Amino acid sequence: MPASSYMSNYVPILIQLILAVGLAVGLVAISELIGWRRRSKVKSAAYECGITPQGDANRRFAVKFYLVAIVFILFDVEAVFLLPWAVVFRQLKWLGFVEMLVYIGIVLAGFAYIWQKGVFDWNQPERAEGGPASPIH
Amino acid sequence: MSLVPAEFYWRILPELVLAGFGAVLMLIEGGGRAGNRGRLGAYVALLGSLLAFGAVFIQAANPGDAFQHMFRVDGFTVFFDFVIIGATVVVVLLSMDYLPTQHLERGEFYALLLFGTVGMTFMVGSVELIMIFISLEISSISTYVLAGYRRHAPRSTESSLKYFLLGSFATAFFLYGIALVYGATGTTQLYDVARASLTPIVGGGEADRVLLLAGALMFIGLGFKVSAAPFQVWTPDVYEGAPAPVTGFMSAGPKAAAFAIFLRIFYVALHSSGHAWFWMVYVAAILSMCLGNIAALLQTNIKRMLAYSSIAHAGYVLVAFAALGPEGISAVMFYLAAYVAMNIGAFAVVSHFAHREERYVDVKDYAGLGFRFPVPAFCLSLFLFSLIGVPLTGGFFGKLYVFRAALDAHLVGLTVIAVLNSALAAFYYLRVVVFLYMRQPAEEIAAPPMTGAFSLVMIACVAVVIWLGVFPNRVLEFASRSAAQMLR
Amino acid sequence: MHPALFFIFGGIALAGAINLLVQRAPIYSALSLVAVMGALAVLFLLLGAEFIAFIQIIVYAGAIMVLFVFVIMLLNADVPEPTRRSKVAQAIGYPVMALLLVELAGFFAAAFGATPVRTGGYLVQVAAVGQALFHEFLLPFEVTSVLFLVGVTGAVLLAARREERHGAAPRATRVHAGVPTRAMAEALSVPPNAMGGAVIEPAPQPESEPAHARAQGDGR
Repeated sequence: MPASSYMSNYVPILIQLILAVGLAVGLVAISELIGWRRRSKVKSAAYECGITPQGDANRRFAVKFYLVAIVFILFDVEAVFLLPWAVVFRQLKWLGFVEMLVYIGIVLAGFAYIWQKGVFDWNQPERAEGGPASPIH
Repeated sequence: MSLVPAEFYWRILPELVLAGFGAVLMLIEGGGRAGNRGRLGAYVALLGSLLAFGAVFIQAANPGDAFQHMFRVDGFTVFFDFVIIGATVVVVLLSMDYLPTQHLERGEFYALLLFGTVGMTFMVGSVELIMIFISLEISSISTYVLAGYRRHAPRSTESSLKYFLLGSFATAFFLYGIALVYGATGTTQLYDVARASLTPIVGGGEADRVLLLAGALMFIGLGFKVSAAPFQVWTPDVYEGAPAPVTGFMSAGPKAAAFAIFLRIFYVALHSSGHAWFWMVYVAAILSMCLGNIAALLQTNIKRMLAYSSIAHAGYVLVAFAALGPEGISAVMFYLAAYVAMNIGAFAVVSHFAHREERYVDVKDYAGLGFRFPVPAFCLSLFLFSLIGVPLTGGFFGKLYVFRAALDAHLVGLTVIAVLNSALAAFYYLRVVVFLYMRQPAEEIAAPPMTGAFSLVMIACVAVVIWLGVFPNRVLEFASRSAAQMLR
Repeated sequence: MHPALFFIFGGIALAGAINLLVQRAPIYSALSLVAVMGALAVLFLLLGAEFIAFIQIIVYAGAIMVLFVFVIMLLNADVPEPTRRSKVAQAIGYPVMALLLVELAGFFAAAFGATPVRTGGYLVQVAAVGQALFHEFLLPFEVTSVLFLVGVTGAVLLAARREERHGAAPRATRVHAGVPTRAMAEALSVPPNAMGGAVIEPAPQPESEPAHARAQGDGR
């Protein structure tokens, strides 16, 4: 395959990339240049009956988020493997189907495990000891 | 065309059994109503590892390649599968004794043990670098997590984190080495690499240099995994912080598996540049022995002492490695078998005496235990004597074969250093024995219960150590045959 | 056109990488890593490795970066306090790094010659990746799933809340027990439920475990 036709497939993406970056940079730059700002104490104060903020807005996030991210990666990678599989699905015939089934089966075991562990159960922060957290009550 | 004939599955049967039981353990731990899931998990893991041990016999009956020459069942694979799965069985038993006293028994622990073993057994059978890499990762990641299993103990977390960070770094080196091998030869199958390195695709004789760099990078990665100096810095902290049975496991299974792929990669794939990497092995061997033994002399914590001793033992194995021949391979194999038995045995006793939160892990805590707890103390002494290399123990013949292989390869200097080091090592091993039998205890340690599981561990380890020390021939013959077979 | 693209995106990758090291706040480093990943994806595309380019975007710029950002938020990693910077390490480290880089560059120049940048010469189609993955590399492919299981087990084991002996005091009561304004500020900044789970190091944990056990836990 000639190189030029291969790369020309991606020209739209390149154009979009340039547009996106240009727009983002351009808008910020324009507002920086011709924007009109005046900071005052009143402006930065809490509005009307708002509460005066205390302490640092940056605080630790619950470890749950991290676990969700891990699960996300897990299925993301699985999805990545599905892509080449789907492309050659017809040539692979039944064997390919079974291969993928086994693979997904094993990954699903992991999914079942984290589900049972209550990783997705965000409603029940103080789960009783010992018992598995059931997501449905 | 059938892509996956039935015998392929027989060839990876131990791995299949282990992975299946691991998955079942995860599901048990996740599901099921409260109750004693940890204990149930222990029995399932024990059953799984025993079945896998049995499955190695089936695997051995079906020698040959599997899965597009990714996996090879030969004597070498079978030998290491026995060693590694045997170690896992022992560690499962040991954990059944240890975890309840720490109030930490959970199914995931056993699941990770089994998964780690899947990684190690795949490692020793793989003859393809990508496969080796994936299985190495499986084994490493399981051990990283297991090291941090006592999550509430800062030292355990520290151990896990250090191991993870440095280990990932080392794995990256290894992976880079694989990429260069592929770049130089266009293949990742070890035997094809060996062939291709003779007729390289990269022109101008430069493939040799790329392969050499690849060898150096893989040496760093594997050197870390076997805790050979100068890549040993992580060892004492990680061994000290990890739960005692896990430390035993880490010093046995992953180490044996890493040495196995070390042998396969360097003796088979990088055979053509042996003259060059020989010196890396030579220097690492000397450094590991000297550094490990001298540092071990200064330790008071018994886990740290055994950690340094395991660095030193990696050095002895590298001495045989430097012999560059089938005798070297068989000596490495025999040594590792003996080492795994005696080291897990020693850690078993350490974990037996450790008590809740691992309070008693100082050499001083062992004062006077010899008469109060004669059986475990006697076993510990036996394992320590074996680590020294006293006759009638497996360690003796292990060292003997290592030295013989090195002398046959005319490595006189290296052998002399190794012998001197073994003499030096006797000091710190004997010091523990002295404390066991000749010192008055400062504090009365409450009697740990002699559980059935612990007794079985002791029987198994003592039996193997004595067996290798009294009838070494059969094992050595098997190792020699496998070595010749592997190089073909 | 291709060499131009190579140099543009190679430059972006390099600039992003340098920015990553220079930034003090971890979140900026993470974001410039996204730029590096994106630029690398284009480089892969130029080399004709479509599949790897997509992976680079989907997995690295997508999933892995999400994980990074979550970890930064989880640790509440602020601008770090500079540690005692060792002058010796700097004096030795930078020259040695430069030396190694030069050596490596020289090595590759010698090994592969001064081959000019070659782009678009070959094309690896996704179908070819699929064929290789599901025939030749079937075993590694299936074994990866075990790797995932290990990763999941490890993450849950280390990060998820364990059925600990006594557990931390319920979050809600703690919030109410606090000074009212503070409780409200907390409630405003983060929904209480989202904070309910285990933070890696839970805040005061009165009855979690006896102090002496913890003290002896270090094993010294």
